Amino acid sequence: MKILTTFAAMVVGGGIAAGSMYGLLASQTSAPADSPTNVNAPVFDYGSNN
Amino acid sequence: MRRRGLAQEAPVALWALALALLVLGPALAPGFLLVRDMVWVPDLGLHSDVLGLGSGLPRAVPSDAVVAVLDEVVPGMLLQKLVLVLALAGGGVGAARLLEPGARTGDRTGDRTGDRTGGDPTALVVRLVAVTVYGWNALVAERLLMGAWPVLVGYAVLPWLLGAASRWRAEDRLPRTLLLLVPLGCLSASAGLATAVAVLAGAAGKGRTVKAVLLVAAGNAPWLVAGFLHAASATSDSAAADVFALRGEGSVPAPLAALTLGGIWNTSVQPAARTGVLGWLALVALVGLAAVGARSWWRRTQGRDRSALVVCWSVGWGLAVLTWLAPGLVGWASEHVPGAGVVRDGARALVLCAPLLAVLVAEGVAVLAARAPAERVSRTALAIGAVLLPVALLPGLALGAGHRIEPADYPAAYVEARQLLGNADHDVAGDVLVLPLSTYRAPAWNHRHLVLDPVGRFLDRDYVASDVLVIDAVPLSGEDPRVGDAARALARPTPEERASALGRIGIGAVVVDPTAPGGPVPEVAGEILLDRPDLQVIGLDGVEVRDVQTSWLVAMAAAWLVFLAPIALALVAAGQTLIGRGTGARDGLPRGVTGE
Repeated sequence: MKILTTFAAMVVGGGIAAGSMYGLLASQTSAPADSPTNVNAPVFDYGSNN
Repeated sequence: MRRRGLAQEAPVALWALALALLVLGPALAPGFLLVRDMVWVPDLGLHSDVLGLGSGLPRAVPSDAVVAVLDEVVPGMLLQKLVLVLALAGGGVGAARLLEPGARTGDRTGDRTGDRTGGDPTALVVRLVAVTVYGWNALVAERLLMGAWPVLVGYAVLPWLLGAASRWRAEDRLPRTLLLLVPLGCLSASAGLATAVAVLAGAAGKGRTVKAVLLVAAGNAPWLVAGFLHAASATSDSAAADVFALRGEGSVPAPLAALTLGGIWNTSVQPAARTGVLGWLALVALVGLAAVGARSWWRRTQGRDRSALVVCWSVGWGLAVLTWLAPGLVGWASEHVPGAGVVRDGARALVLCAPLLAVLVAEGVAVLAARAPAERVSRTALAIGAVLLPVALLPGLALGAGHRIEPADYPAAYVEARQLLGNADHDVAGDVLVLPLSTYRAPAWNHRHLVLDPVGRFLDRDYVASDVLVIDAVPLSGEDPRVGDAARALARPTPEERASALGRIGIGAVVVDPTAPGGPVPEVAGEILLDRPDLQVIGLDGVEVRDVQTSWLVAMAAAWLVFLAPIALALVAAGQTLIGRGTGARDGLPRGVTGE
């Protein structure tokens, strides 16, 4: 039982830590997020509801 | 004692700072961060516009004036980064302090979850959790990408306000820090309202109410008085209420997204993670932990501290959901009640929900920690997971919100234009008209990121520029009547007539950004002072310089004096304390005995 709880705790804690690291690395290595602009547009949208 | 306090505070402050640095990442490199409404320039001039005396409804009062003064001491680029780092880090430290014993009943009967502030590892983990929840969430990401830095400053100040208000009740003496925190929390209208709610929720009662009302009135005086002076244009397009209402994130409905501080109207700044599975996971994890911690927190916290946090949360969530539930009502109020449009951006009110969320989630972790396995390795793994949970749920907030905030350098033509318009040899009177009449730009030199036209702020002049917001190609009318006047002047048939008409509304120079959308710009007769590929400046003759009414000058002068009064009082009190300490030291008394 003790081994199981220890294992579960390590899975939960380690999983979250690994997920954080993966997310951070993915956000660093991914292409820059959408540039908001079509430079030929007559005006730029301040934002979108869609 | 002092050393022990520092030892306990240092990890919290360092973690908060580390998160802030991680959020900004490459954005901290040299250059200005220009994103949507966040426009900083090397040296913002202290003109009529920034003081609330411009022709349009002042939207950056008092934040612009504060920046204009501070950037005389600290260069604008450095100041911007300092403000952002401190705003992002400061809130988390303040949230952790809400777990201090001052907010506790002291009744430990049946309490199995331990002291939140002691030196034991669990207490530290709980405080670090509060830091992460407060400093790393959807609200921070969305407001950062909207460029709403005064909102972020107010957000950072909120937990400190609640702590100071609690001390005010406990010691029955107005804390000096509150005199500084309130003006700092009122750098914009919406931030000022949140500050007012927090101070009144935390301090009102037993003779403090009048003082608290006066204090928040002083902090909000500049934008309130400026708004009153512009009452004729202080109502807004009713259609905007529907546009700016709280909005769901992906499949997460708006009221539920608001529980984890998300739900901004602008889907283009909603973090991608929030619109997918992670949005639901964030809801389950954070609300679940808050629910686990609620009972323990309720039992361990003084009644008035509880009610302050609950009132703030209720007002924030209630206002946000109201914009989603009844946008018609909010729209009617915005159209008919001057200033009511301040609340139309529903998700902005969620700043008031953050202190309670952070405290409850931290409390939930404390409750679970009491039931966690006793082995060191298990507890360490769970502690790391708990502290990093908000990061795992929203990894896209890192590194300049996913590389969407990048440092940029202004073109040399901007500097030339500023020098030309400030050069007495050219004798350019009046204000500047910025063309084309389109509110937002996405210049190549700013990595094509969307930003409010920065030209006006860069130049050392009052200026007229478009204030029309376009949402999904639908324009929402602006509030500055001079923009309409300028558009009518530009519609005249000849360049000479256009120049003459512009001169009659006080325009002494036209600055054209040929790279901006909204062109082509009609020709205006005048002297070409600068002609560069990214900026042209034309000086006009026959300008009727716009006068500011004396009554407006008096009213705004009074408002600014009232705004500065608490700061002056705090500085005087601090000076007296220092003098007292010096006298105490000379008299052989221990430091801190006098002047406290």
